Amino acid sequence: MSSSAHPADGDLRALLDDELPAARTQEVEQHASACAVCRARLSELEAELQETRALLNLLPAAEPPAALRIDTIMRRARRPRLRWGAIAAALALFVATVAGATVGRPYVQALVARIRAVVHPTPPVPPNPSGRGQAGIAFVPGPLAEIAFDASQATGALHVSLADTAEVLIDPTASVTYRVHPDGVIVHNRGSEASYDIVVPRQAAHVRILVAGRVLFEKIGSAVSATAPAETAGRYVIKIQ
Amino acid sequence: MSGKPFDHEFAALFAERSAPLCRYISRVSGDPAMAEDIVQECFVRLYRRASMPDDPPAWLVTVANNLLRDDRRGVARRQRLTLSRSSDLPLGGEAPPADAAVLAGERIESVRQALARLPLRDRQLLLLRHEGYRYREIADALDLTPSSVGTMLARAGEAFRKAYHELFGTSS
Repeated sequence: MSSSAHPADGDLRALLDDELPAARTQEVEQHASACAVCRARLSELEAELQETRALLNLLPAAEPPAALRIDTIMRRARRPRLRWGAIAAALALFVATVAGATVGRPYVQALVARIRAVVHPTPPVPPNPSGRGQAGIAFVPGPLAEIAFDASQATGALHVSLADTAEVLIDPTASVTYRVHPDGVIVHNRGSEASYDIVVPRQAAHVRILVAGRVLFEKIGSAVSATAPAETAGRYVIKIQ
Repeated sequence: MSGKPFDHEFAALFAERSAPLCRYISRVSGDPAMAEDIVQECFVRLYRRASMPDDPPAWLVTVANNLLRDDRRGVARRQRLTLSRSSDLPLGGEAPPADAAVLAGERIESVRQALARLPLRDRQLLLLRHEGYRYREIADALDLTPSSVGTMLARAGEAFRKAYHELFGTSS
């Protein structure tokens, strides 16, 4: 084999780390078996790898201290979010109400989304394959949270899921208008073809979703009733009819 | 702990990954106390997310690296710690007794300083691999292509050893 076909150090290193794709592993191993230069280079790289390991092993190993316990972490994670969450949710509701509560209005949309982004500095999530925007409604439920859709729709569905969040989230696939009130939201969906992702906090006391006055989903404490069976644990797909 | 499937996955991930992540952050930052805080925060965020990301180990490293980067006060504190450690070493004067303990201490300090001389990306690569992270996980966490990881590891290792031998006074 000609010297121009010598595998690069990166490939040789990946071979030593058992990280080379199978097809490439075969090529490199075949080449090395017939090439003294590459065999020597492999030996060098292996010695260097061992030396690096040995040196890094000299550093004191900082094992997780006893304080780093899973129950502590889960308890902390379950604790209600910072008061910022409630303050900002109230602010979002106030802005939405004062401004006429219109999901389709870009400035309200942007402001609500921005407030949500500020109070939820969560790590980046993969882009939504449905291509829907981030605009939506988020609010902290009181003793009763009611989401009332004005009308049934020929198409579209409610994708309702229970999650360990503090807020009810409603995320439509297309613009609709809505109005908030102390016990929830009225969605003006007449003539719409949108679907809606609705996230319901598991800890919420009472959440009810109605379409044209008919209750399609209701959660009271941990008991859930819906007009469609759960697709998976805690997730329901309900036609808006 | 409840019997929810996510809780079981979370517990398994914590059992498997909290220790390597803690060691990685501890070594890359030089600050074990901060590593504990960061690892705890990573897992709190994951639990609040209530669903597993596509590549949980890489996700944890990404979040940990971001927290580390954002911890400006931590950076200042690490610099102070590094300086105080350095000043504890004998500087000039009569050569100290070359007993095993002194030599071991000097070697460890040389390793620390050699790592500190590397660009952050090289340090992250070496320490992630040292903790057993796969190329794919390293690539995801550091925004690299998996096929470039071997080459970058080989170069980072070479730079690290060269710096170590310069500091410790041995030839490579």
